[in-house]
Amino acid sequence: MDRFRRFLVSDHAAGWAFILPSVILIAVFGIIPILWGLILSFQKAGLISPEREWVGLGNYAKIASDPKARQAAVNTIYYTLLFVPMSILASLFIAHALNRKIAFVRFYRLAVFIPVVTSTIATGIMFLWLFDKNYGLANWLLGKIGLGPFGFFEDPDQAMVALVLMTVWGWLGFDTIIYLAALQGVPQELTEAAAIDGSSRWSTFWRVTWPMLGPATLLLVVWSTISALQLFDEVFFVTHGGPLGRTSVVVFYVYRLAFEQGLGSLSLAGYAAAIAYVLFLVILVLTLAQFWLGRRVVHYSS
Amino acid sequence: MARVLFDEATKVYQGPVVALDHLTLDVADGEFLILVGPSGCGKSTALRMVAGLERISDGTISIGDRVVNDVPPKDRDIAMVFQNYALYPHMTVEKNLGFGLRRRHTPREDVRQRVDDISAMLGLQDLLRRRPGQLSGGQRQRVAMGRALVREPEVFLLDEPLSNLDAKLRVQMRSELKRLHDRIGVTTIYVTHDQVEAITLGERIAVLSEGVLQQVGPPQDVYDHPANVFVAGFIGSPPMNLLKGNAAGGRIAVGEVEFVDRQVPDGEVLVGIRPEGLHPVGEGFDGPVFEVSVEVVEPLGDEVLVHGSIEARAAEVRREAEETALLADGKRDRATITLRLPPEERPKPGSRLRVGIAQNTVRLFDAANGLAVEPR
Amino acid sequence: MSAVTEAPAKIAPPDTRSLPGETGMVERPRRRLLPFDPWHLFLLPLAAVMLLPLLWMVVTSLETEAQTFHFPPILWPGTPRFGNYLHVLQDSAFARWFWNTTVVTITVVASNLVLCTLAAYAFARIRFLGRAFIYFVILATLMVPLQVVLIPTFLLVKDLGLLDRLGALVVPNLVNVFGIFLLTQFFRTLPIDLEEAAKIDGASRLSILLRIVVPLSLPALATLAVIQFLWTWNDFLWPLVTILTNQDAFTLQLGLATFQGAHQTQWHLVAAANIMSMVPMIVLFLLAQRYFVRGIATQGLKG
Repeated sequence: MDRFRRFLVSDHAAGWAFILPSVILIAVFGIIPILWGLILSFQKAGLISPEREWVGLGNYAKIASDPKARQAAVNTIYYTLLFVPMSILASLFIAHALNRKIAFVRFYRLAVFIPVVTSTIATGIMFLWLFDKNYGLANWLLGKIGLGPFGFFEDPDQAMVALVLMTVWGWLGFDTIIYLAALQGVPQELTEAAAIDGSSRWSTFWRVTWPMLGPATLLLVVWSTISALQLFDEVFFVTHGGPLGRTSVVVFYVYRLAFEQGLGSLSLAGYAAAIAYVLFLVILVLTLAQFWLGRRVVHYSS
Repeated sequence: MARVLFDEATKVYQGPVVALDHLTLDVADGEFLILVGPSGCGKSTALRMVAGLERISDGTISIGDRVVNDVPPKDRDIAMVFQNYALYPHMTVEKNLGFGLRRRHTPREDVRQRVDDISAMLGLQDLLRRRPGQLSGGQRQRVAMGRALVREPEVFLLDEPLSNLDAKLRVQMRSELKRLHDRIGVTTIYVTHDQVEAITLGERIAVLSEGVLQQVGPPQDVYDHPANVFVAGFIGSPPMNLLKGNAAGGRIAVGEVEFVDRQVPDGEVLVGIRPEGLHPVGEGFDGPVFEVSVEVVEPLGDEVLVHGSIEARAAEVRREAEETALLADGKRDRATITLRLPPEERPKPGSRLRVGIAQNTVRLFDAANGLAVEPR
Repeated sequence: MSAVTEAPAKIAPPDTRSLPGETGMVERPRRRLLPFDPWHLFLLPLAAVMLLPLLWMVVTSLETEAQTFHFPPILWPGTPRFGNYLHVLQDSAFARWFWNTTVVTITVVASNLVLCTLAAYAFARIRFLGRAFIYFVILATLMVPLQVVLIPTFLLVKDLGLLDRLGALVVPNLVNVFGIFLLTQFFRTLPIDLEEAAKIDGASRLSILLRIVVPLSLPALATLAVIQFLWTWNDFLWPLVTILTNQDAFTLQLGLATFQGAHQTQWHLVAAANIMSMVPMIVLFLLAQRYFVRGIATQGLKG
């Protein structure tokens, strides 16, 4: 009895009492779904219907022969290859520009940061209107400098690029904040020493500042890649995978299988789960690869 | 020719805050000059202005024959050792050393040669492939020096380079620096807040306070003949004892003790006596004597510091709001003074000590403006 | 200690050359082609591009339907039609969507503040059996992307009977592992002396947490609140998936998307709805900028 009482007031009891509600919630809504999803991926399952049929690796095999899955993969890679470099390079340049003592810098920073808080839907609406083929401001402005008119979201060849522009607009603020923090973390003495050593401004940036931005760059590359690979909201709302499936990305395809097609009599939830898991594995491998590569190239100063 | 001339050099920040107030100073070619003073006195600002890291608000600075106010740092042919070394963390020691030379398009063979020479001189040969993060403080300091020296600059600037080292290493590096300067002979301007460093290292020292140059001269001169109360109290450790005195007809009274034969105008005067100017004396001593009531005894190994109180008023040097005059107004009726004794003598706290004054070491200062009276 | 050698030193009148804008390294005197810093030539257009979509939305929301169909576009409608906003509120369940989102967001933020604080404090300061293991496991769940758990969580919510109800939006989000991570890192940086002193004085763990740690952690808590608010308010995928037919339970984003779908060519109305939906987050951002920035910088550490 006494041992029990001692236990109750011990650190062990206190610790567990503090984490218990959270652990339960995480177990139920975090861990169980992760495991369940894995199991589902080995089944032919209906979303509303209770059908469950074990198919082992059948779903995974199906992915290889599914042309829609292949298209989704290609589109996703295309999007990622455009989105990641563009957003990182742009934000680096902007962060450098904002890192100076210049008039109105607060206003400029605000302008760059605000798009971060607009929701994907709000952004989607803004750009649907901006990029409207017939009445949009974009075509009008571009027309004034002799370009266009463009179909943007309605043109199969342009839709993905338009999506990239839209999402880069939304994410620039985020990347810029990170680069700004990193730039401000470069000790002033280093750039001063470089200047005294005879280094020009460009040379100092390239040989002294840029290497010190390594950790931030690695971070942004990893983060941007992960979010690019998981693109959904904008595709669903703005183009719904079109035109002609040219913007259908993996997560969108998963959604369609499970929640659009799968709601009917087609039991595709398991298949969708399998695709989701494959994407997860790709992300995991890519992230690890990026970190491993990063560790070899990036030098964390003591 | 690499002489450095400050001509009324001034730096003002928004406020307005005057960081450096019309500094006029001539550093001779090959001289080792030390800028010393408490933090905020403007010494680092002056150094950075020579480096070109701070713009000059007024006046000029010249290196050699030319005025360099508008010359960017990389065109000034100067090198600097920063307090935190500022080594490029992602480059090896070798790359760090060669960076400046490579920026100036020195042929690769020359770069290698000079880097090798410098690393040999500073004992860095085994560290060339390492990165700064893998080095100790002392090693980093030497790399920072090497990076500066390898460029064979006209002027060598050092900003408190030893303050991040532990005490033992600091002493070691001090003598190494001296040796290096003797060997290389480049004009050097060295900034420190440590007056011991200043006295031991410098050929000449320049004492600054609140942006204003207080005194410049060889260390021993500054020590023996401080130009004002600030220098008197700043240079020398333990600091000079400062007491309130009253002069009347050639006799100066400090508490109950009197000096004679001093040609000073009547009125209040500040009396400064260095600890080594006070000695215990026997009953038969016939000069001015303090009756010291011993309070604290500090044995230092090679000497003993004794702190005790005497029947006199201490001079407090204070700054009153806008007024820059100083108040010589001790609060207590008894002042605490410090004296030095040989290590064998250890008086007991609470005991009384008769202390005689070596009159030729007494320095007098004007009570109103702190300037030395009868400067040499 | 200070002294002056002579009468008050002459202080030259402040030289404007040394004031902000002119601080920094000496640079080669360059011919100034422009009366202002050339970077403005980049930053001003950039700011315009970043703000253009928003500003254009505002303009459109004040136009008549006919004006929106004008090409070239009308840049200012002459007389702004604020009535569009009223129209949206009357014609749709906008108010309802707004209310739903507010309720859900506040609940989720409040719940997170409480649960994450408790858990993070335990992980940071209390030594209990299994601490390292549990912490590792829950952090691992952060690595798993949303689409993997989307379907199973949907099934789970369905089995719990929460489908089509606001509960589906609240319950799975009552605690966010990222919040636990954020606060754990933060608590670890607090000096432990204060807590130890309180422990010696006999305070219980809970009261240490509430009386000492929390008051010191307000900035971190504010950051967490702001970030969680942003995520929940703007969330689209999860409401899309779980709120299927019950229009009464639509969130703002869901409602907005539906509204746009229903009024596809009525841009003046869609714009008004859009502006109304963005205002709360923009206001929050303007008030709490510091916390947003801090939150984003910390998200960066997660990597």
